[in-house]
Amino acid sequence: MTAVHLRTQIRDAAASTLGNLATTGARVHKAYMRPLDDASLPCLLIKLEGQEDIEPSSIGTILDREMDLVVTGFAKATGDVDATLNEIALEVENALAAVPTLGGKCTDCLLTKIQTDVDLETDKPVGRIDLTYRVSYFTNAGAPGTLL
Amino acid sequence: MDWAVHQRRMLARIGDDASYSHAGGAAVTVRGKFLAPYQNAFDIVAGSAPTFFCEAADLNARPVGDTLTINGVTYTIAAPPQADDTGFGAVPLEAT
Repeated sequence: MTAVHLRTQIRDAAASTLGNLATTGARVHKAYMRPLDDASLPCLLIKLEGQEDIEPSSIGTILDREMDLVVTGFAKATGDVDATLNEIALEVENALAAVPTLGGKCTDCLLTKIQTDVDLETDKPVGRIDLTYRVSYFTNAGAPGTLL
Repeated sequence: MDWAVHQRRMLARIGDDASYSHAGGAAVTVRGKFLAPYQNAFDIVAGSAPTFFCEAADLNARPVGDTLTINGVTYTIAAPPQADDTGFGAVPLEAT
């Protein structure tokens, strides 16, 4: 039995896939952290968000699971921060589309929503772009670390 | 002493000189107090909230987009001064 839950394996696989993009480079985070300074931007934050839907299948103890993987890009600039956010989206979409099963960690990983926001309360505008992917995978009830 | 006079006296003692330029015109010196308290965005991106406390009449009536250079750093005025009834107020700034 694999000790690490597939949720963590999926998150880590996404982080690995996105770990060398042109705009965000190696500035990829997998957990909330203390506030980032200017030198740490632009960056990506990868997290599993909200509820995971789990349905027992009709075949024994197989669980049909779906959850949202959210890739958030942050950028801070006085210029066209929207263009930077869109460039981040382009790079993330291209990279994840190239590995639809995240290297065999899930059965599907599909983009379902993009949302942007800009905060003007700081010394320079800070923008964020959230790319939400719906991730599907199957496990046995007693083996959440192994993909079926 | 009225409050405006008191504020001018305080700024004279503890304030900062800023070089103010309206619409690219010749710069003039404005006395005020520069503050840049910590401010973050989305609870994750660190930054500051630079403001310049001064007498609104020292600035153009429509100063948004004008520049203030303080301690060698140039800022753009991001919003109109939030002046109170004494005529003094905080001017939100954005780093250039």
